[in-house]
Order: sequence, then structure tokens, then C-alpha cells
Amino acid sequence: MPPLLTCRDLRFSYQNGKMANLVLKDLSFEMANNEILGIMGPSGCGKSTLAKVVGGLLMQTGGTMEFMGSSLHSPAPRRGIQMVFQNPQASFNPRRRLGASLRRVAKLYGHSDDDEIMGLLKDLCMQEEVLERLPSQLSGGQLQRLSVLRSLLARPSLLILDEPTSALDISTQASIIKSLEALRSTYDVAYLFISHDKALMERFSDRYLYMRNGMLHDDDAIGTC
Amino acid sequence: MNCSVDALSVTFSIGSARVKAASDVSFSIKDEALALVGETGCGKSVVAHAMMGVLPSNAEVRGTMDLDGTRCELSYGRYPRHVRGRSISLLMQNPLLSMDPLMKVGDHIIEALNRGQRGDTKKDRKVALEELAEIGFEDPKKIYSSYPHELSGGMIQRAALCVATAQSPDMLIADEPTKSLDAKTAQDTIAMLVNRKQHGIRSMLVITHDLSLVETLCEKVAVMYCGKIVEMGDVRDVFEDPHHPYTRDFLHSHPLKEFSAIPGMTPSMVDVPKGCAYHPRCRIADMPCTTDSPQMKERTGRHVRCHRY
Repeated sequence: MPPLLTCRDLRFSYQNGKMANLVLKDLSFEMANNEILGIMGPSGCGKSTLAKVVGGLLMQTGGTMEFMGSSLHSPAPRRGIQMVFQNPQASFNPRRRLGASLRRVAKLYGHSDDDEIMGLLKDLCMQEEVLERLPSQLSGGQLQRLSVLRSLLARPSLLILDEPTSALDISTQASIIKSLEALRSTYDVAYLFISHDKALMERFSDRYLYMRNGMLHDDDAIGTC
Repeated sequence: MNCSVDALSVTFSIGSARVKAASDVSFSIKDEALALVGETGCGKSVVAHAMMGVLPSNAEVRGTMDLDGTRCELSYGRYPRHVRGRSISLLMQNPLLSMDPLMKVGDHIIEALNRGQRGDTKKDRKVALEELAEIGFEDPKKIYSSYPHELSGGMIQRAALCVATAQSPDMLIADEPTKSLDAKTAQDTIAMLVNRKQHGIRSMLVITHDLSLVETLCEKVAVMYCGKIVEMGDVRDVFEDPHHPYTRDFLHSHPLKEFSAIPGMTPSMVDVPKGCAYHPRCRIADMPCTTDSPQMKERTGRHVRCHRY
């Protein structure tokens, strides 16, 4: 069975005038179906840039990526790869009720009624009434659950979690991570989990890689993160 | 510095709704560091902002604060502004957002030194550079001339601490000082706060959910749930033997412990459950818990707000 995601010699640089700042330096790794792969490292090491390149928000400047056996060439939206961001408040339209935001995405992915949203709300232990609220009326934990819900509407095979709980307290973090663990088997989804919390990484991921200065190292080589 | 807060309550009026964000909050800090921990939205930052007198006008604040024998009214319009910065100062959550993006770091420190007024810039510049060097910057002149966005997360946190402590306050309130920082930067920030506590700042109120910060920096801890302190005591005692069911569940949710999620959801502050606010999620809730609000009980230095204690 081919790997879900294969990255070979992946490079990315931010252009600053005539200067190119190389952020990802020849990264190579594979992910299997339904796997939780962790990427850990200090701030500024390139973790979020890697997430954006894999998620198609940035175009790699070198190397190759294959997803489910097909080559990924363009930064065009990839239905099979979805992303949950660090700050849920900034990822929802503040003037639109959450139900309207979610229905828009559901429609985009071919769900004509609310059944899919209601099913996911139940899986995430949330009540229907949150759909009538504005983002400012919910807590960070509730909004992050809805971010997960929104990304699962596309029925992805890979979900990129870019520090999804770093702005949340430990009890909300535990609750969201437990929900993600349950959803992984229900929706047969793999997670690329980015975090700088070693204790959380060891709890949640199947294996993890350490990133430093744009390069990946095996977890055996990890010192303190 | 001896600081005590007595019966602080804060209610926000939002449209027709009234949200009680803090209720009957009392504690005292005597030349030590007290940590205020709890879930997001439980009212920790509201307590800090009430103590600084910086809540918006739709907040109805009741209660008093005592600073070394000086009684301060915390209600809107009666807050003694002269204590701000000199007696008590606030290190804001998210330092990048708390700084003016169009002002250089040095100007922030000078503004804090002069309480918003222009002063002797040459002398102030010298003081500001000394502050930046003391906090560990190798090139203070470069930091002095930098804009906030030009600094990394750890550097901006250190610069913000320089601004907060520019007037050498006796007490510092640090609101989530390690939030969203990576482990190395968080460790540096904790070391910086420990250093400040040993040299100059006598008392601290640390708002956090970073338990390693609490263990390293604080002597006492108060646990908040739905706007009320539910347990308070020495850090080691509370962490090793929590008495309130919420404290127990909260501590067990840490990845280094059981990593178990608390059942149910945090209630909305608009519609707080009757009786003990924690009873719908509590594993040992009984009859009085659903109807009567528990009072704080004290035994051998431990304060617990639970009917079962």
C-alpha cells in the first residue's frame, strides 16, 4: 500500500527583495494512512511553513510531494488535505453566524442539507445552538472544535493540525485531543500534528520528528525542545 | 508588598444580558507569588484588569484592594490611578498586541518611566538601556531602536517586562506570560520572572495554565472556576493533594498526568448552573451541590469551596 503522503527533498524559501530566505531545507518524510505524525521544534524553525506547503497555501520552491500516489504540483485547494489553524478566532468570519459559515463550506463540498454538520456536532459533543452564535460568543475551545468540524466536512484523508491547542488551557486541550483521537478512527483520517509541547506530542502522536533550522531530525536525536 | 483583594465581583452588561465574570474573589499576597489558574474564560484576566482599574465602562466592579495598608476602591471612576505602574503593574497577555506597532521599544520604556509624559530623554535613554541590558539583551542599543514586530516572541516578552517594570513596582501581575511560547522561550521567560522576583519585585500575581511556571515561580495557587476561586493553598500541597473535585480533574488533564478530559463542557457565563457551578461535571456531586452555592471553608491554610469538603 503506497504511503498517504511522500515528501522528497522539499524546499521552500521566502523571497525578501533579491534575497531568498531558505526556510525548508530538503525535507524528506512519509506518512501512512490513519497515522499521527508529529512535527516538533522551537518557534521560527519552519513548522508552520511546512504545514502551509503541505496544505497548498504556499508553493514549494523545490522537491516533490505525492499525496495518495498522485503528484501535487500546484497550490490549488486540495480537498483531501485540510488544515486547522492555531488561532480559531482568526479563522472564522467575525460577522457571520457560525451556522452560516459552516453551511457555506458544507455546500462547497456537496452536502445539500445540515445532516453532515449535525452528525459532526454530535461526534464533537457540541450542541446545535452554537450554530446560531457569532464567533465572539464562543470560547476558544468551542471555536477550535468547530474548526475541526469545518475541516472534516471535506472528508479529508489528511488533516494538518498547526498547534491547535497551544492557545488553550490544559483541560480544554485534553478534551479536544480526546475528540481528535476518536474522530481519527471514525473518519479514517491521518494527522500531521505540529506542536512545541513534548509531553503532548508523546501522548498524541504515533511518531514524531524534530525540526531545527528548517531541517528534520529523527526523534532519537531530540534533545530538549 | 502586602496586597489583598476583598470580595471582588465584576459584572458586564452586554445588551440585555448580564455576565458575572468574577464573584466573591478574595485573596492576599504577602511578599510572595500567587498563581491564578483555571480554564479559559473563567475570569482570571478579569481579576487582573480589575486590580489595574482598566476594565471597560460596561463592567460593574465591586470590592476593594489593599496595598500595604492603603485601601483602594476598584469600582469604575474611583480607582486610584497613581498606584498604577509604581505600586502595581501589569505584564499583558500577548506582548506584541499590547505594544504600539509605530513606537520603538525604547520609546515604550521611556513613556512608562514618565507616566506618559515627555521627560529628560538623555537621562531616560540611559535608564532604558540599563533596563534592557539588565534583562539580558546583549545589544540593548539595537533593541532600544527596534520596532516590536522586529523582535522574536521571547525578545518581545522581555522587552514588555522592561516596560511593565520601568517604574520598579512593588507588585507585578503577569497575565499568561508563557502562553504560545515554545518550550525554550518559555523557560527563558520563567527564569527572567524568577530573577525579577529575587531582585526588586516583592509580590507577583501570575495568571497562567502553565503548571511548570506555577511550580517554579509561585508559593501559593488559587484555582478559579466560573468566576469564583474554588481552592487556594500552597502550591505543593494543592498539586500533590487537591481537595476540590475541579482542581483534581483540572490537574489530571495535564499531558504529564492522566491526560483525562473533564466530562461535559464549561458552562456559559451567561447561564451559570445553580448551586455549585461545577456540579453538572462533578463526579461526587450530591443534593446540596445542585441547589446551594458552597461557601469557602478554611482548614490548616487550605481554602476550599465545596460542600463535600
